[in-house]
Amino acid sequence: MFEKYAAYSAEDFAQDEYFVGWVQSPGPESDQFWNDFQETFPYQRPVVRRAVQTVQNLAVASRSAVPQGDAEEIWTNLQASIAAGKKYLKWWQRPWAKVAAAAVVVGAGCIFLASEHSPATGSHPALSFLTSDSLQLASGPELREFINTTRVPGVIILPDSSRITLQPNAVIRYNQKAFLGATRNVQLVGEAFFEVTRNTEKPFLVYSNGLITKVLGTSFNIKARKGSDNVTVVVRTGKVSVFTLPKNPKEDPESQGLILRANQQVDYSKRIEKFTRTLVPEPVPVLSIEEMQQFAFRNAPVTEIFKALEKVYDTEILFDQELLSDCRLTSTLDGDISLFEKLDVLCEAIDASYKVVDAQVVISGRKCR
Amino acid sequence: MDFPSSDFHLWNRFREGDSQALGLIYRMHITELLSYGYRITSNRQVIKDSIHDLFLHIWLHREKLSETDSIKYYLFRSLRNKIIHNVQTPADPSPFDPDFRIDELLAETSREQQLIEQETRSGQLSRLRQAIDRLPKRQQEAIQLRYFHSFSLEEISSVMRMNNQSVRNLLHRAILHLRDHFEIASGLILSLIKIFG
Repeated sequence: MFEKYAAYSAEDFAQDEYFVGWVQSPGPESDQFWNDFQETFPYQRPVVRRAVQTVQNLAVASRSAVPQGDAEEIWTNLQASIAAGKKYLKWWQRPWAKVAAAAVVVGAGCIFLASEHSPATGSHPALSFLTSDSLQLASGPELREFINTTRVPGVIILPDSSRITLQPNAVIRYNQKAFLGATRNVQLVGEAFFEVTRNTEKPFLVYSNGLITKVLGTSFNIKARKGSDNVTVVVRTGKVSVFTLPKNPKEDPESQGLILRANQQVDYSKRIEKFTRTLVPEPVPVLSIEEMQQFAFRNAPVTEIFKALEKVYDTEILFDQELLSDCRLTSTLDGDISLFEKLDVLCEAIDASYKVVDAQVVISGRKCR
Repeated sequence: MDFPSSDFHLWNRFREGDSQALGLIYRMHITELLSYGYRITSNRQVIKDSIHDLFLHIWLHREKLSETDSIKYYLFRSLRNKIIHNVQTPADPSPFDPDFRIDELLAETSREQQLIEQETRSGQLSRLRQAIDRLPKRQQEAIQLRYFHSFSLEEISSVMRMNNQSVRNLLHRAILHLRDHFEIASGLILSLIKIFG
């Protein structure tokens, strides 16, 4: 099997399908093959190295320079043609082309922005990723794409040392060059858990099924299934802002969104453009075990226990202070039982009930004697 | 690099008339399509018109389109047809020349291209780029499809409407022409390794 390659030159390798395939998208099997090959024929090592370099150089050098502005110009004309419902005339058929083109840039640009996010000037800064940068996003050597083709979650470390745990079949993409720019942008298809390195200067934005999740530094999970219109964002620590792109590009996109805190999740339906915020099914304490051990209550007002729970789970608990101030209990907050189990026990003891409304716990009870 | 099932879904949304899907497909592929266009012809206006016509055509006839697992492949193949059609239109001042117009190409290095050369600090890469620019157009096209866009030989032969062996020969001729530039490049790398190693 190896013999075929024993006398190959770098140019021969660069034309070999299996070799080029390995350089362009290496996998465990081809890695193994080419490692073994070099073990077997050590004198071919420098040749293989040259051939890898050749294939990579050909990729970079064969890409042709694209004049700035062409992508925007074609898009503008295309929008005008679609709006007119017909083909526009070829350039040599329209002597007035230059004047007319300048006129439709303004008009068609606006039509387009109402439904899409065009590479136009004057849009909100948070949208810059979707304009000029995204034109480069899906092409060229700067694009980084990771697909988890395994059956187990896989971890990716980004250039800012943020960690992304990709679930099977999930895809993450980002532009290596743009990532080091003003904002850290990634696209997600599928489900992933993000642990974002804090950098207040450079927000971290995740684009998934039309929903944008913006953070400064925190950890959260996003589920944006391929072929689904729904996105679920679950926050583990810190705060994130979720929003969609506004119809009006001058509007601040975040003003129409939601701020999520730890233990909150939002379900976004793209079809009906609706956010539903709620608590996660199993809230996780945001304090350490040591910090939680300070909360031990002996014949204390239940209102203080509720306030402690708010701190432990970073979750708002609403109750009538005056009504419940006479209710006293003995309790600790550590242990393995969940927030909802604790609430069950506490409410049972004071003959109250609770429900979760818009990610807040609302207690309704009666006066204790 | 490909996302068959996500392409499949996006394409179906497009076929159902979702204008957001149109915008997404455009944004995802426009830079690569422009880049590819310049390896088929040097006429910038023809490239722009062809891409416009291509997207308008598929939008207006979206209901008649068949399913696809690779939007990129579909677009490349269609763009090539459009460009060849547009350069053969009599009104076009620069008729399509499939091969061997090296003299014309030499004068073609645009200002943008030169800017990119400067940015590419490495001299060897820019020499390789210039050597590729001097190749016959069809060799340039095959090299870009193979190494930059990572198409398989089979896909290239389908896009360029040539049989598999002809694609191999085309690539082989191109590599022979470019060979000197690999040697320089790799010599440089080896000496760097020696210095730092």
